[in-house]
Amino acid sequence: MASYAYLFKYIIIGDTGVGKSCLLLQFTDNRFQPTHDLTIGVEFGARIVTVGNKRIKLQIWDTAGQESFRSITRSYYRGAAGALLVYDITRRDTFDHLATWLEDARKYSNPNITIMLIGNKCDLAAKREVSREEGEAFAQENGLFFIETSAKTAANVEEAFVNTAQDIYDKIQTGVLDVTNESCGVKTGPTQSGLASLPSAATESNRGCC
Amino acid sequence: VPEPSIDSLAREIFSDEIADLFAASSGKDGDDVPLPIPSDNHCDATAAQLVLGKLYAQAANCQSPVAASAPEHELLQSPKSLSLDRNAPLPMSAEPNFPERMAAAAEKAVDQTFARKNHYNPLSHNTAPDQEMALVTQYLELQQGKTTAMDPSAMDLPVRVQRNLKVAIETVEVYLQHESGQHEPMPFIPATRRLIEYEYQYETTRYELQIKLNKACLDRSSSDGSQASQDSMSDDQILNSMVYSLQTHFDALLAQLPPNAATQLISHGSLDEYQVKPSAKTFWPITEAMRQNYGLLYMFWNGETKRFELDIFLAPFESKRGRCTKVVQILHQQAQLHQVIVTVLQQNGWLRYYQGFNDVCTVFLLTLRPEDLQSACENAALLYFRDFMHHDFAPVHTFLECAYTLIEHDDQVLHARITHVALPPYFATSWLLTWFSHSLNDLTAISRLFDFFLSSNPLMPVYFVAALILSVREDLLAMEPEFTLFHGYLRDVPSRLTLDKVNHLISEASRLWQSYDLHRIFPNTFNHQ
Repeated sequence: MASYAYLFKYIIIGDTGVGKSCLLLQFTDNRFQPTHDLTIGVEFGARIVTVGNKRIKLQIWDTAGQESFRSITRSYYRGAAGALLVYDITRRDTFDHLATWLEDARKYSNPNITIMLIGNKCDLAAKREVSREEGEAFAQENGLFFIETSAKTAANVEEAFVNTAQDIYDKIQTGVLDVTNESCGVKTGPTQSGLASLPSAATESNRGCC
Repeated sequence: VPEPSIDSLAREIFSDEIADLFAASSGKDGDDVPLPIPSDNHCDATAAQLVLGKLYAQAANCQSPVAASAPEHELLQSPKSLSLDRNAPLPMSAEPNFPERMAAAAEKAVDQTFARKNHYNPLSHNTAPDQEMALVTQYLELQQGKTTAMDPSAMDLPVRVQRNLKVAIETVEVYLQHESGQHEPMPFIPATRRLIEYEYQYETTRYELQIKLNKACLDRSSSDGSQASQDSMSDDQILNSMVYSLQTHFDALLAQLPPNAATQLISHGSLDEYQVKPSAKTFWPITEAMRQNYGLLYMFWNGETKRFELDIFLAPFESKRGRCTKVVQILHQQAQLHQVIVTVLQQNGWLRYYQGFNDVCTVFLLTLRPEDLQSACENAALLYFRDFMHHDFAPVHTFLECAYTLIEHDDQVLHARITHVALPPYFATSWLLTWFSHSLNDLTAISRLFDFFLSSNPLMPVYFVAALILSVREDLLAMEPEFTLFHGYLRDVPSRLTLDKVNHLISEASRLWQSYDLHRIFPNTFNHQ
């Protein structure tokens, strides 16, 4: 098992068909699966990234988008340090539903959770229904980070996950998050010491589960 | 893969009546006749068929938002590129090089060697595709008042073409009725619905009677029997006779069910108060009826936004089911599946679509005769999946917890480990919601499992889930106690199941069923109160 300094737990939420699973697959496996397999319940992926010279393992729960499944996905908010809230820039309704998702996230997650708003499918510029400015405005109003991505071309996918990790890491450094309290969604890795000196090369892929 | 005979293929695609004609016209019983495989210059025919298939799909979908969210990558920009505006010209005439474009897409989408040499696909072999399409076009125009008569040569078309035409016309008619707001519900199987209503009524009445009886007993003990003589029968007798008459009525309703699919689906045990005999059953209708199929589709209903979202997913099923995927058939089946699910939901307004129900219906689509499909899906929804078709998923949580309870009774060591790693049971969500059809790869194994569940108590899948987890106990106990590892490991277990393993697990599930009586293990969960 690869060693790491910290473990961060993420949850990916958003309407059905916005590309949550594709984002995760692009991030963990560097590939895009054009055909769509519905997520029923929860899926799971992991990868190690490097932030501030530390190896950080991201443990990511990918949830079903359909409303019926919310009672199941809710149990994964607890204990998540980061949430990726995804909408599809080519489908306005997925943007319109953000408020509902955000409400859920605020209600069921820990108060210090870092939320990254993601406008996915930015490669489909011709079909855009939600402008970048609208996304930015929503993020600003609600205190979220914001980025537009394409799981297909991999544009900004890395950044979406790593920037979230950076913020969580900063929160640890400033004492906002307590690594000894697992409900915050962060904990120290199994072999913490001696890793800080690792070169901060680009992120390292760790396929499959762990 | 052995090459299927013409006869079996004909029976696969057509009704028996037409298949007989087919066999008769070939002069023999069909086995040795060379297949009329289309040659490469039939590309146009394939393209034309694609257009026709799209027309089916389009007509069945009725609503243009359907494909608003269809993936960009789709080879066939199917319903999206087709306008559903009544006054708009038909798509094939609107786009002069549409057939060529579709042909190119077909080249990409279909593995031609596989499709043309190893599998005879009647839909791609077409002596008169242009004629066929022209007739559908003509029919549409007739309906729209643009022409006044159908071409009489329609009657001279080969049997197969006529059948296709019939399907197309029916589909188009439904579409037109929708458009003009005259749509009437498809004819259905009222007996099944009444049966379900009755099931509820029966339980409710029994429960109410029980309350009445208790109350009467209380009254009597307090008033010392002063009014007891008013009736010649005791309350017990009244209750018994009422329950008896209800039960008789219930049985009579059961007898009214259609003779084919429904009676097979509602085999013993599903309604008769938890009396299941899984090991006693030797005939597995779905496995028996299972026939080779070429491909399928995927579709889901987004209940939140009240609109259809329709995706055509070619690749997953090529790899998943290991079968030839013919685009035309996918489109046709897509239209079928769409129609089936919509009809189930229309007919039963209290049922709500969930992602995963499409997997269930797809299994029926791949294994049953077309004429049994609709009733099979509705019966399955009403009898086995309705707990998942409410607004919230509370029953899912309950059932998953029940699986853990069973494990606790059967293997305390394993249960302690699962508790220790705090593994949430949600890795099994799709197992229950789709009867494993979402994650199992082998259609034969899926069919076997469906047969087992259809002939069992609706809670049997919970026992099967427990049996499956118990079957990998050694691996789980050897694993590092980390719940994400458990989740990841268990998630992939079903994809490795073969028919043999499924059979073994069925016997294990039956053992659990017999060892751990539902009412004893879950005294407060399933008491109808």
